[in-house]
Amino acid sequence: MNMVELMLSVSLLTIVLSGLTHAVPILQKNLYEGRTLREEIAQVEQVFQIITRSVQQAGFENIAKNQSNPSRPQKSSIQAIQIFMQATLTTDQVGKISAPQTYLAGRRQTDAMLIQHEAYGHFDCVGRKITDKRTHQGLSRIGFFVQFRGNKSNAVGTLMCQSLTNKGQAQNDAILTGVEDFLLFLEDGVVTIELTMQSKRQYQTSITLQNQISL
Amino acid sequence: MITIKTPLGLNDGFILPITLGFISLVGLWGTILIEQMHSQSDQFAKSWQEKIIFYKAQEHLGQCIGKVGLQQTSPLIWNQCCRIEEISIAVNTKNSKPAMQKNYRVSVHHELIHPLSKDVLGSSRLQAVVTLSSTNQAIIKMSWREIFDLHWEKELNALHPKTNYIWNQLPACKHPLPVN
Repeated sequence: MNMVELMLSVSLLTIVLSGLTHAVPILQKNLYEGRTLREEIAQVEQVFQIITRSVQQAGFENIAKNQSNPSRPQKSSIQAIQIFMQATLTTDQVGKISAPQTYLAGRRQTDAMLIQHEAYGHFDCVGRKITDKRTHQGLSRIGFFVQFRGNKSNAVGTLMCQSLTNKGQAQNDAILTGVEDFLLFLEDGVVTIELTMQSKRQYQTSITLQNQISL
Repeated sequence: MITIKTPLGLNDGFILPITLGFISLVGLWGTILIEQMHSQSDQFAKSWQEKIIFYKAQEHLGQCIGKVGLQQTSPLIWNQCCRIEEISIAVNTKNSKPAMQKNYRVSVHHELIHPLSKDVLGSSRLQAVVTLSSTNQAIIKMSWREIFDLHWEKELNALHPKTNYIWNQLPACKHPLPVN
């Protein structure tokens, strides 16, 4: 290898490397953004499926079991779905709600939903069996609400799913992070969910109630 | 003739190994990226398959509920994978005039299969209990649920003698995975 060849190869290598050092971060950024978007869609899709399944089971009454056991008192109609505007669910007491954190005032706030039904072969949001022990007054309770953590300027919202423990106490499981708004509407037997993520992307779904308990 | 001393050993092939090493790194990075994209698309596909079979089962359950009360025998397997059975007769004692009510259990079982390998990609088992008024055969109560775990279902059915386990007697309606 002579001097000219060495100079030429070094120059070529420099050109190639400078091009790569410029292109790689851009490529990486694009790929990262694409991946983040796909991950977010997949996570939101999964959460919508969890909520859909819970909503569709709302108000389930074990008619067969009640009929086979006549001594069991007949329950009055179950309040299948309750929506609490601008509220969160607490763990102090089953089904108790609290006003949202004060620093959220002035921006769109998040709602909470409580779903009730009789337990018979059901599962909670994270796939644990809902046994008779995990009920309150014979009813399984699944709640959804957003909990914010962090200070006022950069609070991170996490969508929580509340269910009952074996002792009948409320417990929370995080199912989605990076939530900004979680708005719920219940009208004519249809639950509409509007979810806004920190990426400012908005997702919406409508779920029809399935069980006809008190017609 | 002038000879150049090459302290870095360029004469021994410096550029080639570096280039090959660089290409290998890029290749490795690409492989990891493609693997991640594959797992994500698998997750999407699984979610879509679960949804599609669930909607098919739900639609069929609605059709089966429409047949409740019309059957002469109990249990009745209607439309291959729908089982309608009368489970009990209850007396409504709330009113001064007792009315007879009939309860029916309607179960459907659907499976999504791979068109070539016939592997089961997803399944959906749905069950509804419907109470009909004996006067006009109208549905006065309906409760619906999805069955995920057959072992648990067996245990639950064993606890309640009138709700026997039926999933081993009900064939599944098979749907091949739609392909574009």
